[in-house]
Amino acid sequence: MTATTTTPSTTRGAIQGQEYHQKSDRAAKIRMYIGLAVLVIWGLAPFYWMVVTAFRDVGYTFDTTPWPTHVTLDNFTTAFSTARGNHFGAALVHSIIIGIVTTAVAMLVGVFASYALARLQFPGKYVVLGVILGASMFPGVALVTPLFQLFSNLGWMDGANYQALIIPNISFALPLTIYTLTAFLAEMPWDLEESARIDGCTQGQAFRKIMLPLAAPGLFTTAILAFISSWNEYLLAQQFSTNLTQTVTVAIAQFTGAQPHQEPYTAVMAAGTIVTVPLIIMVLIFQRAIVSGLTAGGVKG
Amino acid sequence: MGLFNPGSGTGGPRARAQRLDMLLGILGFFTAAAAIQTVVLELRGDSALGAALVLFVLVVGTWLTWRARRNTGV
Repeated sequence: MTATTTTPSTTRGAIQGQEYHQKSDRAAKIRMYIGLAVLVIWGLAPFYWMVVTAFRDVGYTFDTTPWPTHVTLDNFTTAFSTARGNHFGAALVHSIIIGIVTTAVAMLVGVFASYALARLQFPGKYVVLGVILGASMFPGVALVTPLFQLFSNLGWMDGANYQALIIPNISFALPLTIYTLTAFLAEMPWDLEESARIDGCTQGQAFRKIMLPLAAPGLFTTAILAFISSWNEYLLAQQFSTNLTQTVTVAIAQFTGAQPHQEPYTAVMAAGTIVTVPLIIMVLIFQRAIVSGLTAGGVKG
Repeated sequence: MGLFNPGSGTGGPRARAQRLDMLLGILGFFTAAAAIQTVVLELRGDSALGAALVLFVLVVGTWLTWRARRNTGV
């Protein structure tokens, strides 16, 4: 008869092993959280310092106290003031118009292009992907001079010609949109589309009624990325914008102080804080849609 | 197999063809851009030597990639 009873020494060993694994898991979790905390602090520290300086009195601009001191809202008033020739309020409106139009066009074109690339099999599909990758590699600074000449000849460098900023922005947002959406759509369960086709939908109907609602998380994420890329764009905006189309990035860079050669740091920080607000609002609004899209339906059985 | 990393982890001829197709697209894009620049410079009468040399290198690269693509037999 073989003895299957556990001896006290083996039981003790098993318990010690369990304790060792629990300790090891706990140590791994602690290391992970420390790593995450370092990353979050690293990422948010500049933003925190911007907000702190935005609320600090101009006389204490270079105060190194890490928390808000001499709190005032004057910097926000100064940022919106037009007394020194700054037009920050108007620039906000211009940026919103340019960002929304750029995002809308890039998404409209990007959705169809990425659907075709993710779903359809056609000769040269990977060549098209390579061309898109090549277009996204193209350095923006190389386009400034020829575009400036082209837009000057077209008469787009005067007045309120938003297209001078929207068209180049679309060319930069489109590869990003197509890439992100294609990667997202390629991972989707195509059985749903086939089921819709069996139920009588055309390919267009299956795409519009079944696949698009399911792709909502990807669509919203891509839209946010496209909007942010347009919102933060400086190089082209600095060259192609006029007083009537000036964007926030250009307006902040051209902020003037009370005296010549004086950089109004606190007003710049206040403007920077204001500029991040629309982005945060957009992410908060879309967050609900992203989550609802993630939990919407699936294939059963 | 990722769409943007075709045939990752595999050495099959189809995967190789897809990778070469993608490279062909990238090189083709820059070759077209270089060709346009060279033609414009020539038509204007400006010095086009640098642009022509870049175009030559890109054309050779594209041709070599095309040849490698054709030899995959896919």
